[in-house]
Amino acid sequence: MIAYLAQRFLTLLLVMLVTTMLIFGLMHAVPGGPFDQTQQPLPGPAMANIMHKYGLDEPIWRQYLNWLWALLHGDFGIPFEQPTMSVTGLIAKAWPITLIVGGITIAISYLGGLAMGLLAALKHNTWIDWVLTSAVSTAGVALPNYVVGFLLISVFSVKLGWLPAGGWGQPEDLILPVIAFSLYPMALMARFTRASTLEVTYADYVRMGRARGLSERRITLRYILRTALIPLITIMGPNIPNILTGSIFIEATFALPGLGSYFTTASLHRDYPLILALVLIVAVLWGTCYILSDVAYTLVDPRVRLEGLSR
Amino acid sequence: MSDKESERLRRLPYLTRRGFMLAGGAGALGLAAACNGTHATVSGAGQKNALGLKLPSGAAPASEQYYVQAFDSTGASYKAMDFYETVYSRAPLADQFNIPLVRLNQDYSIVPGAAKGWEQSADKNSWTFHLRPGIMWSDGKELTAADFVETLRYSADSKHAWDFSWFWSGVIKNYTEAVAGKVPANQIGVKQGSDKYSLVIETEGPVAYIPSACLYTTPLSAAALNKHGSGTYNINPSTCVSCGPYILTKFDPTATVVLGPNKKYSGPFKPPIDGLVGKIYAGGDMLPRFQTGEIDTISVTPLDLKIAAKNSRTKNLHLYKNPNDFEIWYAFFDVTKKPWSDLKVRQALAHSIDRDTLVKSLLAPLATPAYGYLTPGYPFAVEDPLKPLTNYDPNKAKSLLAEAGYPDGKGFPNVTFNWWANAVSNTESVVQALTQNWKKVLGIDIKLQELDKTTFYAKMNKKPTEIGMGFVSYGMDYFDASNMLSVYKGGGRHNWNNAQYDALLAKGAAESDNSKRQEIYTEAQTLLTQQAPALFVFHLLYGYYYAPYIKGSALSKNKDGYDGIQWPGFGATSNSLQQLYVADNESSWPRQKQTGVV
Repeated sequence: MIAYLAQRFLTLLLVMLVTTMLIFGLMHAVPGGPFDQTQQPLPGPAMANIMHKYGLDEPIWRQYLNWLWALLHGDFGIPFEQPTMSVTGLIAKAWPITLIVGGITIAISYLGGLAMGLLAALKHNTWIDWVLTSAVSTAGVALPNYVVGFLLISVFSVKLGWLPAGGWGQPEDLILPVIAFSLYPMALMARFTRASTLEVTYADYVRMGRARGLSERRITLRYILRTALIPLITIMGPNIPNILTGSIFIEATFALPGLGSYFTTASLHRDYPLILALVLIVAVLWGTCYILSDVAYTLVDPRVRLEGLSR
Repeated sequence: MSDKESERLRRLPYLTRRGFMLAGGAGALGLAAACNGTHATVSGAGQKNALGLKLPSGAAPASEQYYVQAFDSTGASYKAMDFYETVYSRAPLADQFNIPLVRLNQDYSIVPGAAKGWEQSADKNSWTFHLRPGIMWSDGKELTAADFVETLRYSADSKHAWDFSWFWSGVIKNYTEAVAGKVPANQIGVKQGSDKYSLVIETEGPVAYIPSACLYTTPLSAAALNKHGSGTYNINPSTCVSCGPYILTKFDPTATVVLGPNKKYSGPFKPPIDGLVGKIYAGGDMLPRFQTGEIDTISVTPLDLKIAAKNSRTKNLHLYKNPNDFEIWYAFFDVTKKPWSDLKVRQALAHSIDRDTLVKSLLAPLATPAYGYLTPGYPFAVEDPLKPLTNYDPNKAKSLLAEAGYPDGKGFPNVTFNWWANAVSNTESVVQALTQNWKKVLGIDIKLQELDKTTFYAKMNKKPTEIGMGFVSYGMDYFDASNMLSVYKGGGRHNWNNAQYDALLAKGAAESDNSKRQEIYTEAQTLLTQQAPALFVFHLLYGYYYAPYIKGSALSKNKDGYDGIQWPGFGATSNSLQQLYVADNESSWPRQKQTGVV
């Protein structure tokens, strides 16, 4: 297992290196630079000074190597859009907010979705199944989260005045963003849980368990759920990095000073150090989640063996 | 299931449907009670605020004299709090730590600021400003000419690479050379005059609009500049140095900037509002934040107005409107390439735009049709003489296009119209309306292509330009026709080069007599409109809502009928500073309390 994990993480490092090279090249290929002005262009000497100050007058390959060298020393550079902080400082400030919202969203949506899907499957073809599947799940999948967000703000903030319309600093600031953000993954989780549970419910070994007189709770939790979880890991595992890097729409709608907005503003502003740092975060999260998903398989299903490992 | 298990399950507490409904209702009531934000009704009339100013009749208590504004950080970068450190990357609530030489009143007239008076020299090559004595920085030093001298020299320093150095280039003597690194910054034409309260600005030839341009003389502290080496000392509350009524108490460029009262303030203009809060939002809709009392004012888009009209709280609010920075939105052409090199083609397009209908359908009440480059109300702007040159006249438009060799649009080359999205000016709808207009009247198909803002400007500003036809705006930098009209000066932003136009601009800039300047600039505007290197579509009006408890003459109508806080906004450069206060909240408009501001 350790050798396998080491191999996977080494591969991930290689993927990250190639990704940063690609992104670095693309960033510089796109028209416009970080210090281009709109109303009146910077005079030539002023622009030359700024470019020299940030090392942007060097050849691209040298800029990349300089950046890589700094990265290996733990220095992600200074973001052009917030030069009063370092990239590390900016991410350290913004990401915890996104992680808090994302973490609570994952807990609520995954557990809630699991429960809903399980219930829907166990109460298959009843009104409970219909409500949970047709109404809740479908609505959750179909409605964009920012639309849900606006509806929640309109009702709970503007009309009723119960909850803040946005911002960060109080516990109640979490309520509406988490509800809006959770609906889609919860709906997804519920639908897939229902489908995979139904598939397992009528399996022979489940019927055998009932015939043997095992309690319904034991059958559900130990046999049905465990087997139903296997495909869910494939679907929901990779959704985690999406949630943990923030939703641009949720953060914009609820004015959360998290990481999500920097994904667009960094690109719009040609903030090269910040773009690269964000790309690395996403690559690491995605890669790690996939690795962990694969490992989780072996825990849930003892029949699964990872490639390269022998019994 | 065994008997034991059944018994165990029976004894477990369970929630009935009724119990669930009762619990949920109780929870909701509790939440509502906890979240109820009521506003105090104690009056502040007669109290003194933290700056020692007696509050007017009807004012809220001194503890509530703060003003909360929203700032959208999308695409913005916040590097400093001072104009002379950076212009395009200033943080919210910037330029509040000093007093510029001059200020602007509601009627856009220049009035004294830190300078009590000024005059031009006999040879017209310099201006002398006389500072008020006794204005102190919060570090105990006095504001003198030296602060202005050091600030302007800092701006010209090639190592500083100030992003607004074009502003004084060609105006202050040797400034252009200093920016290019050819002469040291201390050789620019700015110096102390006969005493420490006398500032002399030497110009490259006569420059009539120096007082207007000196709105942008918000000085840094010379001592702090020398100590810290840059103007970023003002983004740290512990190093902030102010001679204005406010001082920095919190700087978080991702969330909020807070300015509290500068208790060492000794300047002449004491505001009733002695605390400012800048809430920074990464996008999103500002209207709900205004409706819930998070912020005291918003700038509204046409869409916001439609939504606000359906809301019981906002539907009766007065909409304040003014041109803010007198922005003009126009379609420009690369006049060096066909078909735009043909004047008749440009004029044909100009005469085929039904501006009145376009503005009425898509932008009203937040825009007016534009027949010239300058918005009515802007210094030396004219409109009536320009209308016949560019009015909606489909027959004339068709005949001009036919004379150009494209009757009914036949044979018109494929052209692309580039634009970038801007919600405030509804550009997405406007450009579609324009192309539809041209199709309907002239029979020409123009392809639309959206670009992101940075790419658009990068392509437009390239020499030669990479945009053949584009939709763009310009808002003024200072209050003089020489500013706006210089956008079309030869070698400027666009590639239309007209020697007669350039000569008129040079003459206007040097002329001191305003009636003669009016004649010169009228001629320049007429030439610009007639030659049509651009089609002027609309002048933007900014709409504002203020919470009902925000009051003062700063919101009243000016001589042009515009109301709301006029450009340059609430701050040291405007006399709105003394004319705004927080009143008793008689209408019980929600207002979220801000602690630790005043």
